[in-house]
Amino acid sequence: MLAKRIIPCLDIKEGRVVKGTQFLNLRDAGDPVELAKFYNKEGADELCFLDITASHEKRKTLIELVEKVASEVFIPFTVGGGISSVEEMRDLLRAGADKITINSSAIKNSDLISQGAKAFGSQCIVLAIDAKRNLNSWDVYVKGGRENTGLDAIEWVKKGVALGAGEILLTSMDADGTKEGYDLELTKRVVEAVNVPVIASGGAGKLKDVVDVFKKTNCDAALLASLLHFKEVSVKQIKDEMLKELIATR
Amino acid sequence: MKKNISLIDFGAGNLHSVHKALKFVGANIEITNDESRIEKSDAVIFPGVGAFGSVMQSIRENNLESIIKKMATSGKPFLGICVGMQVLFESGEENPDMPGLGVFKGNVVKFKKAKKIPHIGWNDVGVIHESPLQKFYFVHSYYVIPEDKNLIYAKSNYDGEEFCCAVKKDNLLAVQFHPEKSGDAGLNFLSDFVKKI
Repeated sequence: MLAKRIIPCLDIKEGRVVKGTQFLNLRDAGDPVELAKFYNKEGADELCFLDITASHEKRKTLIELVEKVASEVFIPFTVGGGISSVEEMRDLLRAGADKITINSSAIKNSDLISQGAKAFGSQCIVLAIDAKRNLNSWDVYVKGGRENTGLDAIEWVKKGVALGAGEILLTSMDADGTKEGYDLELTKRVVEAVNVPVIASGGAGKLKDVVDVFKKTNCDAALLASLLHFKEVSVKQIKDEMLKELIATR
Repeated sequence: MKKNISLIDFGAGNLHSVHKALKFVGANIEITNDESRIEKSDAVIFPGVGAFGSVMQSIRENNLESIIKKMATSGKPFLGICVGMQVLFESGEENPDMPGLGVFKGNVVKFKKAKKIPHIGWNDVGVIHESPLQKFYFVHSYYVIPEDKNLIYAKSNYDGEEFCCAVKKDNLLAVQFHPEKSGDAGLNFLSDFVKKI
Protein backbone atom coordinates (compact mmCIF):
# COMPACT_ATOMS: atom_id res chain seq x y z
CA MET A 1 0.00 0.00 0.00
CA LEU A 2 1.11 3.50 -0.76
CA ALA A 3 1.87 5.13 2.57
CA LYS A 4 0.25 8.36 3.66
CA ARG A 5 3.15 10.74 4.11
CA ILE A 6 4.20 12.79 7.11
CA ILE A 7 6.10 15.88 6.01
CA PRO A 8 7.80 18.16 8.52
CA CYS A 9 7.88 21.65 7.10
CA LEU A 10 10.78 23.89 7.92
CA ASP A 11 10.09 27.57 7.37
CA ILE A 12 13.43 29.14 6.63
CA LYS A 13 14.50 32.68 7.28
CA GLU A 14 18.13 33.66 6.80
CA GLY A 15 19.18 30.05 7.02
CA ARG A 16 17.31 29.30 10.25
CA VAL A 17 14.05 27.48 10.88
CA VAL A 18 11.19 29.63 12.09
CA LYS A 19 7.49 29.13 12.56
CA GLY A 20 5.00 31.81 13.40
CA THR A 21 1.41 31.73 14.47
CA GLN A 22 -0.57 32.56 11.33
CA PHE A 23 2.70 33.71 9.79
CA LEU A 24 3.28 36.50 12.32
CA ASN A 25 5.48 36.47 15.45
CA LEU A 26 8.36 34.41 14.14
CA ARG A 27 10.17 32.20 16.61
CA ASP A 28 13.55 30.55 16.10
CA ALA A 29 13.23 26.80 16.22
CA GLY A 30 16.60 25.54 15.13
CA ASP A 31 19.17 24.67 12.51
CA PRO A 32 17.65 23.28 9.28
CA VAL A 33 20.27 20.64 8.52
CA GLU A 34 20.23 19.29 12.05
CA LEU A 35 16.45 19.26 12.03
CA ALA A 36 16.40 17.51 8.64
CA LYS A 37 18.67 14.76 9.98
CA PHE A 38 16.61 14.49 13.12
CA TYR A 39 13.33 14.10 11.21
CA ASN A 40 14.87 11.61 8.81
CA LYS A 41 15.93 9.46 11.78
CA GLU A 42 12.50 9.80 13.29
CA GLY A 43 10.89 8.40 10.16
CA ALA A 44 9.66 11.48 8.30
CA ASP A 45 8.68 10.49 4.76
CA GLU A 46 9.69 13.74 3.14
CA LEU A 47 10.80 17.23 4.07
CA CYS A 48 9.68 20.64 2.96
CA PHE A 49 11.70 23.85 3.14
CA LEU A 50 9.86 27.10 2.62
CA ASP A 51 11.92 30.26 2.47
CA ILE A 52 9.39 32.67 3.86
CA THR A 53 11.59 35.69 3.42
CA ALA A 54 11.96 35.09 -0.29
CA SER A 55 9.25 37.50 -1.39
CA HIS A 56 10.92 40.42 0.33
CA GLU A 57 14.63 39.68 0.61
CA LYS A 58 17.14 38.04 -1.64
CA ARG A 59 18.85 34.84 -0.61
CA LYS A 60 21.26 32.38 -2.12
CA THR A 61 21.85 30.69 1.22
CA LEU A 62 18.93 28.49 0.20
CA ILE A 63 21.00 26.76 -2.48
CA GLU A 64 23.79 26.10 0.01
CA LEU A 65 21.26 24.76 2.44
CA VAL A 66 19.77 22.44 -0.21
CA GLU A 67 23.24 21.13 -1.03
CA LYS A 68 24.01 20.45 2.61
CA VAL A 69 20.73 18.67 3.22
CA ALA A 70 21.06 16.60 0.04
CA SER A 71 24.51 15.37 1.10
CA GLU A 72 23.33 14.13 4.44
CA VAL A 73 19.65 13.25 4.20
CA PHE A 74 18.39 10.70 1.70
CA ILE A 75 14.65 11.22 1.61
CA PRO A 76 12.79 13.43 -0.84
CA PHE A 77 12.55 17.10 -0.14
CA THR A 78 10.72 20.06 -1.56
CA VAL A 79 11.93 23.63 -1.64
CA GLY A 80 9.94 26.78 -2.15
CA GLY A 81 9.60 30.47 -1.46
CA GLY A 82 9.68 33.18 -4.06
CA ILE A 83 10.89 30.98 -6.91
CA SER A 84 9.86 32.74 -10.07
CA SER A 85 11.90 31.31 -12.96
CA VAL A 86 12.80 27.98 -14.53
CA GLU A 87 16.45 28.90 -13.97
CA GLU A 88 15.96 29.16 -10.20
CA MET A 89 14.12 25.84 -10.25
CA ARG A 90 17.01 24.24 -12.13
CA ASP A 91 19.57 25.58 -9.63
CA LEU A 92 17.66 24.18 -6.68
CA LEU A 93 16.94 20.82 -8.33
CA ARG A 94 20.60 20.53 -9.32
CA ALA A 95 21.63 21.30 -5.77
CA GLY A 96 19.62 18.24 -4.72
CA ALA A 97 16.00 19.27 -4.20
CA ASP A 98 13.42 16.84 -5.56
CA LYS A 99 10.51 19.19 -6.01
CA ILE A 100 9.86 22.89 -6.18
CA THR A 101 6.82 24.57 -4.74
CA ILE A 102 5.57 27.72 -6.35
CA ASN A 103 2.87 29.92 -4.93
CA SER A 104 2.49 33.64 -5.68
CA SER A 105 4.87 33.52 -8.65
CA ALA A 106 2.51 31.00 -10.31
CA ILE A 107 -0.38 33.39 -9.75
CA LYS A 108 1.53 36.25 -11.33
CA ASN A 109 2.67 34.05 -14.21
CA SER A 110 0.81 30.76 -14.63
CA ASP A 111 3.11 29.81 -17.53
CA LEU A 112 5.73 29.12 -14.89
CA ILE A 113 3.82 25.94 -13.99
CA SER A 114 3.81 24.62 -17.55
CA GLN A 115 7.40 25.71 -18.20
CA GLY A 116 8.60 23.97 -15.03
CA ALA A 117 6.58 20.84 -15.78
CA LYS A 118 7.92 20.73 -19.30
CA ALA A 119 11.54 21.18 -18.22
CA PHE A 120 11.59 18.84 -15.22
CA GLY A 121 8.35 16.84 -15.29
CA SER A 122 5.10 17.40 -13.39
CA GLN A 123 6.43 15.39 -10.45
CA CYS A 124 8.85 18.26 -9.71
CA ILE A 125 6.24 21.00 -9.65
CA VAL A 126 4.19 21.43 -6.50
CA LEU A 127 1.57 24.16 -6.60
CA ALA A 128 1.23 25.67 -3.14
CA ILE A 129 -1.84 27.66 -2.32
CA ASP A 130 -2.95 29.59 0.77
CA ALA A 131 -6.74 29.50 0.93
CA LYS A 132 -9.09 31.40 3.18
CA ARG A 133 -12.84 30.97 3.47
CA ASN A 134 -15.10 33.58 1.95
CA LEU A 135 -18.73 32.60 2.71
CA ASN A 136 -19.27 29.34 0.80
CA SER A 137 -16.00 29.21 -1.09
CA TRP A 138 -12.30 29.85 -0.55
CA ASP A 139 -10.16 32.66 -1.90
CA VAL A 140 -6.49 32.34 -2.73
CA TYR A 141 -4.22 34.58 -0.68
CA VAL A 142 -0.60 35.61 -1.26
CA LYS A 143 2.16 37.38 0.65
CA GLY A 144 1.81 35.20 3.72
CA GLY A 145 -1.93 35.77 3.89
CA ARG A 146 -1.83 39.54 3.61
CA GLU A 147 -3.32 39.87 0.15
CA ASN A 148 -6.46 38.38 -1.37
CA THR A 149 -5.98 37.60 -5.05
CA GLY A 150 -9.70 37.18 -5.60
CA LEU A 151 -9.03 33.80 -7.24
CA ASP A 152 -11.30 30.92 -6.27
CA ALA A 153 -9.17 28.20 -4.64
CA ILE A 154 -10.91 25.26 -6.33
CA GLU A 155 -10.75 26.85 -9.77
CA TRP A 156 -7.12 27.77 -9.27
CA VAL A 157 -5.94 24.27 -8.28
CA LYS A 158 -7.82 22.80 -11.24
CA LYS A 159 -6.12 25.24 -13.57
CA GLY A 160 -2.74 24.58 -11.95
CA VAL A 161 -3.06 20.83 -12.47
CA ALA A 162 -4.21 21.34 -16.06
CA LEU A 163 -1.05 23.40 -16.61
CA GLY A 164 1.14 20.62 -15.24
CA ALA A 165 1.37 20.83 -11.44
CA GLY A 166 2.03 17.31 -10.12
CA GLU A 167 1.00 17.91 -6.54
CA ILE A 168 -0.94 20.45 -4.47
CA LEU A 169 0.30 21.84 -1.16
CA LEU A 170 -2.84 23.21 0.40
CA THR A 171 -2.62 25.56 3.38
CA SER A 172 -5.74 26.73 5.12
CA MET A 173 -5.21 30.27 6.31
CA ASP A 174 -8.18 29.85 8.64
CA ALA A 175 -6.71 26.79 10.35
CA ASP A 176 -3.01 27.67 10.21
CA GLY A 177 -1.61 28.39 13.64
CA THR A 178 -4.86 27.64 15.46
CA LYS A 179 -3.84 24.08 16.48
CA GLU A 180 -7.48 23.11 16.16
CA GLY A 181 -7.02 20.64 13.34
CA TYR A 182 -6.74 20.68 9.56
CA ASP A 183 -9.47 22.32 7.51
CA LEU A 184 -11.23 19.09 6.56
CA GLU A 185 -13.88 20.63 4.36
CA LEU A 186 -11.42 22.61 2.25
CA THR A 187 -9.06 19.62 2.00
CA LYS A 188 -11.89 17.36 0.89
CA ARG A 189 -13.00 19.79 -1.77
CA VAL A 190 -9.52 20.18 -3.22
CA VAL A 191 -8.86 16.42 -3.18
CA GLU A 192 -12.10 15.88 -5.10
CA ALA A 193 -11.26 18.62 -7.60
CA VAL A 194 -7.90 17.28 -8.80
CA ASN A 195 -6.30 13.98 -9.84
CA VAL A 196 -2.89 14.62 -8.30
CA PRO A 197 -1.74 14.09 -4.70
CA VAL A 198 -2.75 16.72 -2.15
CA ILE A 199 -0.72 17.68 0.92
CA ALA A 200 -2.84 19.12 3.73
CA SER A 201 -1.31 21.93 5.75
CA GLY A 202 -2.22 24.23 8.59
CA GLY A 203 -3.87 23.62 11.93
CA ALA A 204 -2.41 20.40 13.33
CA GLY A 205 -2.39 20.68 17.13
CA LYS A 206 -2.50 17.07 18.29
CA LEU A 207 -2.15 13.46 17.12
CA LYS A 208 -5.84 13.09 16.42
CA ASP A 209 -5.78 15.99 13.94
CA VAL A 210 -3.37 14.08 11.71
CA VAL A 211 -5.40 10.88 11.96
CA ASP A 212 -8.56 12.85 11.16
CA VAL A 213 -7.22 14.46 8.01
CA PHE A 214 -6.32 11.01 6.65
CA LYS A 215 -9.52 9.33 7.79
CA LYS A 216 -11.92 12.06 6.75
CA THR A 217 -10.34 13.23 3.52
CA ASN A 218 -8.46 11.35 0.84
CA CYS A 219 -5.39 13.57 1.05
CA ASP A 220 -2.01 11.96 0.54
CA ALA A 221 0.20 13.72 3.00
CA ALA A 222 0.09 15.92 6.06
CA LEU A 223 2.44 18.83 6.54
CA LEU A 224 3.48 19.62 10.10
CA ALA A 225 5.60 22.35 11.60
CA SER A 226 5.45 23.78 15.11
CA LEU A 227 3.79 20.68 16.56
CA LEU A 228 6.96 18.77 15.64
CA HIS A 229 9.53 21.53 16.00
CA PHE A 230 8.60 22.19 19.60
CA LYS A 231 8.54 18.45 20.31
CA GLU A 232 4.91 18.44 21.40
CA VAL A 233 4.47 15.35 19.25
CA SER A 234 7.02 13.16 17.46
CA VAL A 235 6.87 11.66 13.97
CA LYS A 236 7.16 8.26 15.64
CA GLN A 237 4.10 8.95 17.81
CA ILE A 238 2.12 10.05 14.75
CA LYS A 239 3.09 6.91 12.86
CA ASP A 240 2.23 4.64 15.79
CA GLU A 241 -1.16 6.31 15.98
CA MET A 242 -1.68 5.92 12.23
CA LEU A 243 -0.80 2.24 12.49
CA LYS A 244 -3.36 1.80 15.27
CA GLU A 245 -5.96 3.50 13.12
CA LEU A 246 -5.09 1.28 10.12
CA ILE A 247 -3.82 4.17 8.01
CA ALA A 248 -1.14 3.05 5.55
CA THR A 249 2.20 4.22 6.85
CA ARG A 250 5.88 3.53 6.46
CA MET B 1 41.46 -1.66 -4.07
CA LYS B 2 38.08 -0.05 -4.22
CA LYS B 3 36.04 -0.89 -7.29
CA ASN B 4 35.32 1.85 -9.77
CA ILE B 5 31.75 2.83 -10.53
CA SER B 6 30.71 5.02 -13.45
CA LEU B 7 27.63 7.13 -13.00
CA ILE B 8 26.49 7.81 -16.53
CA ASP B 9 25.98 11.51 -17.15
CA PHE B 10 23.55 12.59 -19.84
CA GLY B 11 22.07 15.38 -17.72
CA ALA B 12 19.60 13.28 -15.73
CA GLY B 13 17.77 15.24 -13.05
CA ASN B 14 18.61 12.82 -10.26
CA LEU B 15 22.30 12.48 -11.15
CA HIS B 16 23.60 14.40 -8.16
CA SER B 17 21.26 12.81 -5.66
CA VAL B 18 22.39 9.38 -6.81
CA HIS B 19 26.01 10.51 -6.63
CA LYS B 20 25.61 11.85 -3.09
CA ALA B 21 23.90 8.71 -1.85
CA LEU B 22 26.61 6.45 -3.30
CA LYS B 23 29.34 8.64 -1.82
CA PHE B 24 27.54 8.38 1.49
CA VAL B 25 27.69 4.56 1.41
CA GLY B 26 31.41 4.76 0.62
CA ALA B 27 31.42 3.99 -3.10
CA ASN B 28 34.22 5.05 -5.40
CA ILE B 29 32.02 6.68 -7.99
CA GLU B 30 32.68 9.02 -10.88
CA ILE B 31 30.17 11.06 -12.88
CA THR B 32 31.13 10.63 -16.52
CA ASN B 33 29.97 10.59 -20.13
CA ASP B 34 33.35 9.39 -21.43
CA GLU B 35 32.91 6.14 -23.30
CA SER B 36 36.32 4.68 -22.51
CA ARG B 37 36.08 5.52 -18.81
CA ILE B 38 32.65 3.94 -18.63
CA GLU B 39 33.92 0.84 -20.39
CA LYS B 40 36.89 0.47 -18.03
CA SER B 41 34.84 0.82 -14.86
CA ASP B 42 33.89 -2.16 -12.72
CA ALA B 43 30.23 -1.24 -12.52
CA VAL B 44 27.75 1.19 -14.00
CA ILE B 45 24.88 3.16 -12.58
CA PHE B 46 22.37 4.53 -15.04
CA PRO B 47 19.99 7.09 -13.53
CA GLY B 48 17.12 8.90 -15.18
CA VAL B 49 14.04 10.99 -14.52
CA GLY B 50 11.61 12.80 -16.76
CA ALA B 51 9.96 11.66 -19.96
CA PHE B 52 11.03 8.49 -21.79
CA GLY B 53 11.48 10.43 -25.04
CA SER B 54 13.55 13.25 -23.59
CA VAL B 55 15.82 10.80 -21.75
CA MET B 56 16.39 8.86 -24.98
CA GLN B 57 17.04 12.11 -26.82
CA SER B 58 19.69 13.18 -24.28
CA ILE B 59 21.31 9.75 -24.44
CA ARG B 60 21.54 9.98 -28.23
CA GLU B 61 22.74 13.62 -28.16
CA ASN B 62 25.51 12.52 -25.81
CA ASN B 63 26.38 9.54 -28.03
CA LEU B 64 25.90 7.18 -25.14
CA GLU B 65 23.48 4.70 -26.70
CA SER B 66 25.95 2.05 -27.72
CA ILE B 67 28.08 2.15 -24.55
CA ILE B 68 25.02 1.88 -22.31
CA LYS B 69 23.77 -1.12 -24.29
CA LYS B 70 27.23 -2.64 -24.19
CA MET B 71 27.57 -2.23 -20.44
CA ALA B 72 24.03 -3.47 -19.80
CA THR B 73 24.90 -6.74 -21.53
CA SER B 74 28.56 -6.94 -20.48
CA GLY B 75 28.03 -9.04 -17.40
CA LYS B 76 29.46 -6.28 -15.19
CA PRO B 77 27.22 -5.03 -12.38
CA PHE B 78 24.74 -2.53 -13.80
CA LEU B 79 22.07 -0.60 -11.95
CA GLY B 80 19.29 1.25 -13.77
CA ILE B 81 17.13 3.67 -11.80
CA CYS B 82 13.63 4.95 -12.68
CA VAL B 83 13.62 6.07 -16.33
CA GLY B 84 17.07 4.46 -16.46
CA MET B 85 15.13 1.22 -16.06
CA GLN B 86 12.36 2.12 -18.50
CA VAL B 87 14.57 3.00 -21.46
CA LEU B 88 16.24 -0.42 -21.32
CA PHE B 89 13.04 -1.63 -22.97
CA GLU B 90 11.94 -1.32 -26.57
CA SER B 91 9.42 1.46 -26.50
CA GLY B 92 7.40 3.71 -24.27
CA GLU B 93 3.75 4.65 -24.50
CA GLU B 94 4.79 8.15 -23.43
CA ASN B 95 6.75 8.76 -26.65
CA PRO B 96 5.94 6.00 -29.15
CA ASP B 97 8.06 7.61 -31.89
CA MET B 98 11.22 7.47 -29.82
CA PRO B 99 12.54 3.90 -29.52
CA GLY B 100 14.23 2.80 -26.31
CA LEU B 101 17.54 1.01 -25.97
CA GLY B 102 15.88 -2.36 -26.53
CA VAL B 103 18.13 -4.33 -24.19
CA PHE B 104 14.95 -6.14 -23.16
CA LYS B 105 11.79 -6.89 -25.06
CA GLY B 106 8.72 -5.18 -23.71
CA ASN B 107 6.91 -1.88 -23.35
CA VAL B 108 6.55 0.93 -20.88
CA VAL B 109 2.92 1.78 -20.15
CA LYS B 110 0.96 4.31 -18.10
CA PHE B 111 -1.03 3.40 -14.97
CA LYS B 112 -4.56 2.64 -16.02
CA LYS B 113 -6.56 2.16 -12.83
CA ALA B 114 -5.00 4.77 -10.59
CA LYS B 115 -7.07 7.82 -9.74
CA LYS B 116 -4.01 9.95 -9.03
CA ILE B 117 -1.03 10.10 -11.31
CA PRO B 118 1.94 10.30 -10.84
CA HIS B 119 2.43 7.54 -8.28
CA ILE B 120 4.31 9.55 -5.66
CA GLY B 121 5.44 8.21 -2.33
CA TRP B 122 6.57 5.22 -0.33
CA ASN B 123 5.23 1.89 -1.50
CA ASP B 124 5.90 -1.77 -0.78
CA VAL B 125 8.45 -3.58 -2.88
CA GLY B 126 7.94 -7.30 -2.87
CA VAL B 127 10.94 -9.22 -4.13
CA ILE B 128 9.77 -12.42 -5.82
CA HIS B 129 10.15 -15.46 -3.54
CA GLU B 130 11.42 -13.28 -0.75
CA SER B 131 9.81 -11.62 2.20
CA PRO B 132 9.27 -9.27 3.97
CA LEU B 133 8.09 -6.24 2.06
CA GLN B 134 10.07 -3.07 2.29
CA LYS B 135 8.96 0.44 1.41
CA PHE B 136 10.85 2.47 -1.18
CA TYR B 137 10.19 5.90 -2.66
CA PHE B 138 8.53 6.07 -6.07
CA VAL B 139 7.83 8.96 -8.45
CA HIS B 140 6.51 7.85 -11.83
CA SER B 141 3.50 7.55 -14.12
CA TYR B 142 4.74 4.70 -16.32
CA TYR B 143 6.03 1.19 -15.66
CA VAL B 144 7.63 -1.63 -17.64
CA ILE B 145 5.94 -4.79 -18.85
CA PRO B 146 8.77 -7.19 -19.73
CA GLU B 147 7.93 -9.78 -22.37
CA ASP B 148 10.09 -12.31 -20.56
CA LYS B 149 8.37 -12.67 -17.19
CA ASN B 150 11.49 -14.29 -15.76
CA LEU B 151 13.09 -10.86 -15.74
CA ILE B 152 10.64 -9.64 -13.09
CA TYR B 153 12.55 -9.40 -9.84
CA ALA B 154 10.12 -7.39 -7.72
CA LYS B 155 6.56 -6.14 -7.87
CA SER B 156 4.59 -3.37 -6.31
CA ASN B 157 0.95 -2.37 -6.31
CA TYR B 158 -0.44 1.11 -6.79
CA ASP B 159 -4.14 1.71 -6.32
CA GLY B 160 -5.02 -1.88 -7.26
CA GLU B 161 -2.67 -2.07 -10.22
CA GLU B 162 0.18 -4.53 -9.80
CA PHE B 163 3.34 -3.62 -11.66
CA CYS B 164 6.92 -4.75 -12.14
CA CYS B 165 9.20 -2.46 -10.11
CA ALA B 166 12.49 -4.29 -10.60
CA VAL B 167 14.04 -6.47 -13.28
CA LYS B 168 17.13 -8.60 -12.91
CA LYS B 169 19.25 -10.50 -15.35
CA ASP B 170 22.64 -11.83 -14.37
CA ASN B 171 24.46 -8.80 -12.94
CA LEU B 172 21.99 -6.27 -14.27
CA LEU B 173 19.45 -4.86 -11.87
CA ALA B 174 17.03 -2.10 -12.77
CA VAL B 175 14.51 -0.54 -10.43
CA GLN B 176 11.57 1.81 -10.82
CA PHE B 177 11.89 3.27 -7.33
CA HIS B 178 14.53 5.72 -6.15
CA PRO B 179 17.00 4.03 -3.78
CA GLU B 180 18.83 7.37 -3.50
CA LYS B 181 15.71 8.87 -1.90
CA SER B 182 14.48 5.86 0.07
CA GLY B 183 16.12 6.61 3.40
CA ASP B 184 17.84 3.73 5.20
CA ALA B 185 16.18 1.09 3.00
CA GLY B 186 17.62 2.81 -0.07
CA LEU B 187 21.08 3.30 1.41
CA ASN B 188 21.18 -0.40 2.37
CA PHE B 189 20.11 -1.33 -1.14
CA LEU B 190 22.89 0.80 -2.69
CA SER B 191 25.43 -0.44 -0.20
CA ASP B 192 24.54 -4.05 -1.13
CA PHE B 193 24.99 -3.22 -4.80
CA VAL B 194 28.42 -1.73 -4.10
CA LYS B 195 29.51 -4.68 -1.94
CA LYS B 196 28.67 -7.20 -4.65
CA ILE B 197 30.85 -5.54 -7.30
